[in-house]
Amino acid sequence: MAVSIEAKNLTKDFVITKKEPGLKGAFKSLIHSEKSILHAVNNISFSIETGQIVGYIGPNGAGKSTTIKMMSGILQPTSGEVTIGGLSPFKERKKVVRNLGVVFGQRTQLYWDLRLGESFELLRRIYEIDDDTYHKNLTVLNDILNIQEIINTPVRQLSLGQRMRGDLAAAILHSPPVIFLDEPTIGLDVDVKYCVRQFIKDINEQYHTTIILTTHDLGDIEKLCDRIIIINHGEIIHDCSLETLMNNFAPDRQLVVDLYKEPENSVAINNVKIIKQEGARLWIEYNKKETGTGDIIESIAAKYPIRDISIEESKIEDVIRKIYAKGEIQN
Amino acid sequence: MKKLLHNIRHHISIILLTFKMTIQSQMEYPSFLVGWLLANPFQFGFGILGIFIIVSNFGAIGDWGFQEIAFLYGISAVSHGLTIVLFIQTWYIESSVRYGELDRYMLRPLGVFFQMIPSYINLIGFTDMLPGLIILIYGCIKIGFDASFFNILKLIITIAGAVLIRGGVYLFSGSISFYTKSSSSLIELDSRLFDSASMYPVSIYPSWIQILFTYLFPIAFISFYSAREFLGKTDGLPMFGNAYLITFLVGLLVFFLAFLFFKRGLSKYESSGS
Repeated sequence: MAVSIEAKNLTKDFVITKKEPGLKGAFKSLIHSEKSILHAVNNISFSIETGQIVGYIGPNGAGKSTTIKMMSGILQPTSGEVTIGGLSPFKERKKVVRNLGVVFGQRTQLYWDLRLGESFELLRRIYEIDDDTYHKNLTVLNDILNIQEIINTPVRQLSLGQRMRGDLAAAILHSPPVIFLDEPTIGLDVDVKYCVRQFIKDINEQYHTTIILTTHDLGDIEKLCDRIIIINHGEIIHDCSLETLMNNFAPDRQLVVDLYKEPENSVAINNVKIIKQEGARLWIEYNKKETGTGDIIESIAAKYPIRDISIEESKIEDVIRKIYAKGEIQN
Repeated sequence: MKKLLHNIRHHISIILLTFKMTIQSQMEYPSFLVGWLLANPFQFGFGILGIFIIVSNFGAIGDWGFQEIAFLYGISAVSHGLTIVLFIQTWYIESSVRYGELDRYMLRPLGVFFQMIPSYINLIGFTDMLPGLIILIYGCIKIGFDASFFNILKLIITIAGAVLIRGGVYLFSGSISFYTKSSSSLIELDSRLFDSASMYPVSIYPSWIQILFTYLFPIAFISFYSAREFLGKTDGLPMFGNAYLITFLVGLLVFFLAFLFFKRGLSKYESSGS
């Protein structure tokens, strides 16, 4: 499959001026200030194929937005390079951004005092979208995002969810083959969140759009992403599918077993690791690859009659938190 | 060639649509517009009234009578108004840089300068221009301005030059925010200097200030030299050649240098980030 986005040893350094506290410090830094270099993005490489949805995640300040900004031509890399469709977004900004749709969840791209439709009208003029494409795209957008309902409302009167729908629509009006979404679901209620996810899925399926998505909502990742790239302290620490990540970091799963009768003393069964026992309920932890769930149930049932069972998978949140925390220790 | 024409048409169509949308969005707050319509004529009215009081008490400023100063003041005020109409965005480079609006411009397949400055025509600026125009017409009538085609053309070229000087200085000051992230106090200073160097004849100042305002910081060209030529006066520094042409050339030069400074600042922003 064709490669859509490629980063090679991409690095972005920021010079940070250290300021001492207080008035004295302020004067001191006027004359002489200590400078240090922050590697916001440090030597990262990846390549993303056409039509992939990639979740780009990491804790706050990990370098996500800096990467997005380099990919969209806003920032110049300190070293290394990134290309979109073979072109450098920094050197050929106008050419590259013509094929790019970008949404910053925290900041709207729409005109505050105008009706939503007028922002679209201006974008149509800027990108020179022909009538057919424009109306076709608007119809598709209307189906998914219900744009018609808000198209005549001034942007400042839109709720956060409505505004996000407007922003998403504005970002793909010119049918870009590549879309960057920087926290598109931030602050949205479940309903709109669902709508946004559906939109991302639909666009990807219909147009085979390549999508990079940063988010702190792991539900987005779970529902949408074929692949996740985790960045921390400017470095990529994992780049794989969600399934691989879960298998590697959370191979264990929990089985909760309710017995008919509270056992008189603590339960012990060969090859079954019981981590907790409370009344008639047992918690069992086991590696899902090594041990079959049925085998465990069988071993327990041989000694104690079972009333009910439930299986709890590890939560993505826990896994991701574990990964972030590991990053902190290493640094 | 065909591509160039297409490009020009494309940009003009964006300017026109943006202008239409600007009018619409400013109509969203009609009281705001009315406020300016009241405030600006007052400001200029009191400005010219102040000069009138000075002149009627002391006879003249330099050897300029009230009607001559009204003519000079009119050129200055009209060029101020037009600058506000065309280049007000230069005042907001600072906030664009600070609050990341610049990022939005960079995500569009158009030049950043184009999106930032000329694509926005400020309707409110016309409320600045109107009182200036009235004062200028008053001045023209009172000094017996010969309204021949050539003279009117000369006046228009003068005002165009003045607008370029003002716009260029603002653009230069605004572009400083690419380096320091702050420039609003400088814009304020520019406005005050413009007032003091273009609303009164520069010849009232000591010659070192005249030299400063002519060669180093050429804001005396905004109104003084052309007005002097129209009035056939000879006070102040000598000038060779036609003042209206020199004013226009100085305007082009100032604006061009400011534009280069903007470009340089922008590339610095791109490489450092917010």
